Amino acid sequence: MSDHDYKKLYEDTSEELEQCQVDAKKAAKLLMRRDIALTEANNLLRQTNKAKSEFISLAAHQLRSPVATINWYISNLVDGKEKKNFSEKQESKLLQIQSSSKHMAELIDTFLLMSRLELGTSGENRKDIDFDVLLNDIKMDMNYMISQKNITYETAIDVNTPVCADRNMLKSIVENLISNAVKYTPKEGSVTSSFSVLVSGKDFGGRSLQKESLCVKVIDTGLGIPKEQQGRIFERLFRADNVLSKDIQGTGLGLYIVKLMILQFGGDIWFSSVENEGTSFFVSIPVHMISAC
Amino acid sequence: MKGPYLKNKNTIILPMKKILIIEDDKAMASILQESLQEEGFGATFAQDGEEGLERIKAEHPDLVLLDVMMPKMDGKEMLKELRAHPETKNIPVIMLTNVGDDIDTISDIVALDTPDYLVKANTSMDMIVERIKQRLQDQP
Repeated sequence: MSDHDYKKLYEDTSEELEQCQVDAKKAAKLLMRRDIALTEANNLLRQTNKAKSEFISLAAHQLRSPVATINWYISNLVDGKEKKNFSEKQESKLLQIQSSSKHMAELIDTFLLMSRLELGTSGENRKDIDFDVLLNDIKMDMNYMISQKNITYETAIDVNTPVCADRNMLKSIVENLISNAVKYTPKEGSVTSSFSVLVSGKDFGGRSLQKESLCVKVIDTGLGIPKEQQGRIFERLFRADNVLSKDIQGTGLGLYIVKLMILQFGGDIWFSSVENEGTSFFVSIPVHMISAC
Repeated sequence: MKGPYLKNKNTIILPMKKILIIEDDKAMASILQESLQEEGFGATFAQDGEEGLERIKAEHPDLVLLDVMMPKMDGKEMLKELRAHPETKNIPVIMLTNVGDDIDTISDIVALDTPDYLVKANTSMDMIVERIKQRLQDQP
């Protein structure tokens, strides 16, 4: 190649390089614009999602009151003085309305809880937890069903470490587990729960604890979960066949949400269950996640 | 009527306990009133905190069922007023709330007294009656 050819090649290459630089700058600008557009779109989506959760929360709050009123009127008809005026057929229809209306109330509560979790407002009300008061509140809400089914209900509390957590969230976790146990335990059965703080390395629910944890155990002598479906019980909207066949109402969202809440606490939930014998649920929450306020 | 009296040898008639329901939702107040009357209570109702306070002073109820969210004077404000006066401070009050989130606020306020509240949507009429009877029994 002659000098002239080299010079020409050099000039051509330089031109191409310059062109490449210009193109690269353009591409970088384009990428930056895309990045900004994506961030904006992401913010917009976040805002829309927040607005959606706020709407669900507001709608659920507003729906609670009329649904409670409906439930009180129905229970007055079903249990009150007017009961004797109804034919068997009418009474059975009223009972169906009552059951559906209670189901609606449960759904509304679930929507509220979900929106609270999504909005991230669930961890804002940290308070010192008095387990005696918390468990007493839960029992008050459950008393009626417990006495109707003549269920033996026992609670053991052995928590000497101060616990500070979102009370509503902790209550929802425990309440969900205990109310499930009561709901799926036949008449004359038993439901026991225990609350303790165990050091790391201790055995709890068949596992060795990695950290010092608040340990919650809820044991029932209920219907149990069919072995082949045990892997699915924390899935959204999942309900086991043996429960569906018995026509026991539920939303299929309870355990899903319980698990979400426990994960927010940095904890874990697991269980052991034998169909027709009962189920034991175990929850562990690391103490450092819920230490004093 | 003061104290139980003997109607005949075997029957003791207890004086009818008066419950004042303070609730702005008329449908709710009305079913509460009817159900409590069926249970043998003398039940009346007021529609907001201001009316509630007047009725308490005039009627001296044995127990007050108090809604939290109300126009004019809400339940929390009314409870503060009630607790501030010697003649009304010992009247047992059961708060009725709609919103689970309110529980913390209510607990703060009633921490001075016996905290007592029911979340309407999670409470059956039987549970309300049971709680009222329990609170009345606990009264000296």
